[in-house]
Amino acid sequence: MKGSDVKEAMEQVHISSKMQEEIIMNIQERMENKNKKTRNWKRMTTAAAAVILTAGVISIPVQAVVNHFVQERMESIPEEEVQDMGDMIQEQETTADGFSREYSESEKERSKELWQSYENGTFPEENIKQVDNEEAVTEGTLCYVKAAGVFYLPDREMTDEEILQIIDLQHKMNYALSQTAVTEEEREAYRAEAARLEKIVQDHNGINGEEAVEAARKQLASDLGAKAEELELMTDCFGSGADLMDISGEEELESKAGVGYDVGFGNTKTHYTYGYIIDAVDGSILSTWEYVPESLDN
Amino acid sequence: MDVGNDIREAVIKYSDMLYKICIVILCNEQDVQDAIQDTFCRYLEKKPEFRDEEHEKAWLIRVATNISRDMIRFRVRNPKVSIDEVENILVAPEHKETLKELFELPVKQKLVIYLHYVEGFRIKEIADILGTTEGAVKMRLRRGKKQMQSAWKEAYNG
Repeated sequence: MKGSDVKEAMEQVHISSKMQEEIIMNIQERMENKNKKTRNWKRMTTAAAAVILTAGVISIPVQAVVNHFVQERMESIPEEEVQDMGDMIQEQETTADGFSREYSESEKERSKELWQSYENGTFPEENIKQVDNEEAVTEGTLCYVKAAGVFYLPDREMTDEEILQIIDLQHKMNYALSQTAVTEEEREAYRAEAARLEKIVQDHNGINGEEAVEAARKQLASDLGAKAEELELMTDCFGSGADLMDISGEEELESKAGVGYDVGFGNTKTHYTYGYIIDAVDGSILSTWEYVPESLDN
Repeated sequence: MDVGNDIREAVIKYSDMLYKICIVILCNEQDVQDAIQDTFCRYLEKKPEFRDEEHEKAWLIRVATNISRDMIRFRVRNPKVSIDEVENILVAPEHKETLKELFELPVKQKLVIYLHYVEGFRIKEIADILGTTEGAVKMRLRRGKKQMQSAWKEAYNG
């Protein structure tokens, strides 16, 4: 089987004109009766609530490393601001923020240090400037373009204050997303799922996220040798770099209790990534994954 | 703004693509129709601003995919049917075998295979659309291909 077979086969599949007409009629009817609660509208509500749980395997960020300084700062954000930020993120087309240029080596170094300082309570004096779209960007001024989800960086070297402003917004957006992405009912389901996975790990005297990262680091050094030093642990804003996930449906992974950690390492310049699914019970390596960007895949 | 024309234009332009994605995921025409309708309603309600056509397409795929996966998880659905019973799939026998193998794969695997090989998205773009990591996409692609290859071998080597 080749990819082209699938493509050829799927090119013969088409929607019927009858179904197209029915869809047009039904949508028209629904749009004209916006307040009418139809079966489909109820379905839409459920769909919106379920987005966070439908990303293939359920991935639960490890929460243990949230610093209380950061926690306090996040909880002091007015509710309305959190909601607005959450709506903004939901409407953006990308799942990760972009930057108008790469960080310089010095900015990268300082960013790492400042990230740590931020976690220890060093916050920017001002909030980053946010603009609606690229037309509103002022040349040479740091800002965040909301519509595109892009940090517009000045051409010159950024100050510590500016880097802290970026780090601050990244934390706030992550927090806002965690608070607003789902309804309360859905958040409850999410928490329940997280608790269920954690309980499975505990019941089996399993390992924590940090231990999973440690196991992955050892394996990485063994697999890649010196090349491992070029790769950094891929973390999210509040995570330790190990995502707990339900792998019970993954038949190829012979896990002890159906729960594993996904730990990845990446090269920030080339975007080459290498990672592992680690058994959350005994820390064994269940699977290795690798992503070679097209630019390196020759 | 003429809503009626907007709806018609959007449905004519994108419903075929959405039909293909949703039928791969849901394997049932009634559910597919519901998913497409929900997708277009969200499209018309939110009226997102798009950079270009590719951006618009990716947005629609993401929404349709989420709705379809949500239907699988949370809703009482119409029964999944075999490809032979899908009225609108009239393909040559050799292609039918390929589709059968594709439809039999787990949702997350067949979805990445579809997006990569049929829609031509790159790994990074698929990861963005599905809200997952590039590593996870790569893994699903590899497993899906492997599974289809073994199904093909089984079918043709007895």
